[in-house]
Amino acid sequence: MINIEDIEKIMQVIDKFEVSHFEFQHEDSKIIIDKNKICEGLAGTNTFTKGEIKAAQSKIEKSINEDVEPEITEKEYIKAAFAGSFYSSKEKNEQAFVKVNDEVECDTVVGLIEVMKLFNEVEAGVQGTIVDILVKDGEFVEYGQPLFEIKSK
Amino acid sequence: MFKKILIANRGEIAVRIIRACRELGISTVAIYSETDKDALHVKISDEAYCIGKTFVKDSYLNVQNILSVAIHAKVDAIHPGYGFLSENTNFAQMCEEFGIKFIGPCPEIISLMGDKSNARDTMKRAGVPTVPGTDGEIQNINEAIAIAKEIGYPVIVKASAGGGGKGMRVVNSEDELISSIETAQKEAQNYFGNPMVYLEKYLEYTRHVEIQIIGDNYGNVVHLGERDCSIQRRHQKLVEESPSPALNEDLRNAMGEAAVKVAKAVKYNSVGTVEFLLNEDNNFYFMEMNTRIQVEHGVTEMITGIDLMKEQILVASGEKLSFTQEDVKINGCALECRINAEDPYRNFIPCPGKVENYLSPGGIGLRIDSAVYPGYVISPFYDSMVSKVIAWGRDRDEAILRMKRALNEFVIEGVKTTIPFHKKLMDNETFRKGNFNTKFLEIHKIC
Amino acid sequence: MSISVLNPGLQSTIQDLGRHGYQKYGVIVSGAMDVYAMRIANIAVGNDENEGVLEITMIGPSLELEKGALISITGGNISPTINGKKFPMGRPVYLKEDCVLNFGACIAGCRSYLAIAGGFAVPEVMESKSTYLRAQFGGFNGRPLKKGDILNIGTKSVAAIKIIEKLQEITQKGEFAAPSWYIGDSTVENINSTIIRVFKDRQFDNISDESINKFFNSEFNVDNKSDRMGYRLCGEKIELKERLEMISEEVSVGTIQIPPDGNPIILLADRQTTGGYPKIAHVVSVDIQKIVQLKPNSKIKFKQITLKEAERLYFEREKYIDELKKAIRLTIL
Repeated sequence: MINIEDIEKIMQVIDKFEVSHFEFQHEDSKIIIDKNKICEGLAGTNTFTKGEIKAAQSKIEKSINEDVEPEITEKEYIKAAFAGSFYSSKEKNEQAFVKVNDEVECDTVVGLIEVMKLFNEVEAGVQGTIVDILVKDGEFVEYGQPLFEIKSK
Repeated sequence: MFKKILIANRGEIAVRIIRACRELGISTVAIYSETDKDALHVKISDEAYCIGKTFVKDSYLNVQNILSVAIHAKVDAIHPGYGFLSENTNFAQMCEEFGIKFIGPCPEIISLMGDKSNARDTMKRAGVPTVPGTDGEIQNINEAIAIAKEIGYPVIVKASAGGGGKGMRVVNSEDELISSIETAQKEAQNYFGNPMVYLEKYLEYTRHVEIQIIGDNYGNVVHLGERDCSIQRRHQKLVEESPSPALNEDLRNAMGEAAVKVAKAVKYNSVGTVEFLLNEDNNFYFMEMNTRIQVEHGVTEMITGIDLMKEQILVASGEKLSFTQEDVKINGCALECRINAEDPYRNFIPCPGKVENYLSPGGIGLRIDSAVYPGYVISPFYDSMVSKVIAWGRDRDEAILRMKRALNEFVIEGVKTTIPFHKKLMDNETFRKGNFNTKFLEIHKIC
Repeated sequence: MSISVLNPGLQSTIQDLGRHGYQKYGVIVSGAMDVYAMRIANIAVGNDENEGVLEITMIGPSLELEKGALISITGGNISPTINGKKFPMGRPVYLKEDCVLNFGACIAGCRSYLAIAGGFAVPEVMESKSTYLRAQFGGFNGRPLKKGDILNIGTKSVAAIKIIEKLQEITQKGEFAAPSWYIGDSTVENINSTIIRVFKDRQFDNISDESINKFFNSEFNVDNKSDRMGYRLCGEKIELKERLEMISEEVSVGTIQIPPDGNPIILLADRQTTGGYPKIAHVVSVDIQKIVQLKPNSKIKFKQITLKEAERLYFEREKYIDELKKAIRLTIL
């Protein structure tokens, strides 16, 4: 099990010898540290490298999971992968792609989201039945907004 | 005057922008990644839209989703804050094309100053002292070798498209030069998508002193004095102060005028910072210009009483600068400590996590800029900033004393922070004397 | 880089926006029939709007394409496939391997446009790469493609290279990488009865009232003899108030002539340089696409609007195309 102290030592070595990519495996733990820019940080502030993130992530997930209660309801949703205008049919006045109780496959197109004049097909992503349609034709949707409630097989 | 602004940023600067908009009666639109759904800037804005997944490239750099929201929300302008898209010429250009004002200078100026080698040349032509070095980018190795010989080692190879302390390599002797240039070019290509580099004499014992300027669309440019940002770790600023202990009135005027001269020459029409290197003989040399609001702008606000954020927004909306050079008075001394979620005892390793308890200091002469609150989770995917603590005093000693008091009052539990580092720094003899340069933290081990 | 023609299809010709400024020498304009689809195809691959594209008619060709090509297909849906897989229309597609592009059934429309980043390296004749079929010059040797033809491709634009860089970031299995987005309206929809908007042309008042009524209230059939020169319509015969001796006048894309037999002709890309028949009406420019995508035996009905309204529609369309170009630029920011 690799711990934070080890990671710190590894990173000091990496810095010292200006290594840009480093992989290390020990038993069931693996560390990959890549010094390519991962996010454009703020000018003048510290940014994290991938290695620092991976190590810190598990620590955070632990602390978050301690607070979150398991959800009792298991509602499944098809969510928006873009921020833009949702359309329920190919053209205006045309029949909608899907209606409630329709069976869909993973790649069934259930709607469109237009982002700056470019259209993206929304696929069901899972095999199942449409339970509810949560957005109107022409409505603006955010990233991650639930569009359809679906019951998967 | 703008009616609605979209803030294309997060964290404490997003909060800062929203505060200024509130005071100006401007509606605010926040954007956030999935991870930031509980962020403070999302809570206090008038409207908020999720625009992508956690990673910065999917969210805060996702220009399509951001512009899509901007158009849907019918915003008049976008404030890019610092970092992220604030110095992205293409983004600034696209905003204009979509009829949305980009709060910053025009794309041409961003592009000019963004190319560090071009910026240097512009300064030279405007008569601003620059560090001896190559004229423009290195076109062939022999030319570089000749110039390095002329200016004398050590030299530093810098990426044209770099900045913020990134993409630089110090070269101590001629045999290292060729390989250093080649490595620097490769790194520049990887990090910034542009392999061009230039050469400068490496001035080792210098202070980093920057001049805050602001200009409007009517040719008015004013400087608001300097900030000394010499306390740096790996080229990242940790403490900034104004006035600089190294400057006297004459030097301040000379540097201020140089900065204003350049800004006027390029018709600069927003806030900006001209960074200089100041050597032991009090000679100053242009280093780079930042065409955005900076993290440490609050230091200048504390000693001048001028709200730079509001001014930036007003100027962008077409108003004239509300003050002249004569109106700018430096009053007292201000110091800023950047409190990050890092462990100063373990080489500043990042310590993201849930902030269990948070109680910021208060009282006379203190300003705390933060986006943290009790229960907030500091994410490992973004910068590690917790708070900016700015202390003001009638003189430097009082400011330092006040900072010490503030740091002692500050309660942050759940994550390790750099507060212990700053406390020790305030007690450091050399720091208190004000006698330091950018090598300070390399020489003095504080923690 | 080049494209090899394994099978030419019914009529595949290189077209651009047309040969302008030469009608006074008796040289017709030619150019793409569906100008809108052609422009979109070029925009999608970072080409100049006027770059030469391949106009594919009804039965598509079989083409061998090289790895590294960036292509787009717009307009009518003639079931394009790459190595058997459905080809995503209306967007830039980057080919990761050498592959074969085939076409199949006409699902909607009948004219499809293939643009390739860099365009076709054929010589310009009178400032245009369009094929003048009757005169046998322009385009690829002045003729439709034949089996065995090799089409050379020009240099990609900076924008095209950026588009390719973005597409290479997509981890997609298979021979090509395409974005999940597509340009709206870049593919023709199957519509049963098509309404074509027109405004009055010069000899409108010479047409009998009864015929005007018939013109706007009856359905016309697209005759088999319709081609790049014009679409001939069958239906109610249109008659003049009295015989008209006309000196030939100007005609343009969308001019509707009434020849002596009373069957309207809608003039299109390969129309003659002047026309001597009375001109009853003119098709609105944004509806040209609807006509040229109709197969023989399709039905149309005309609807009258004002010239002002027609202009408004034109400006709306241009604004839309402008915004599309911006949107594409955003994807490669």
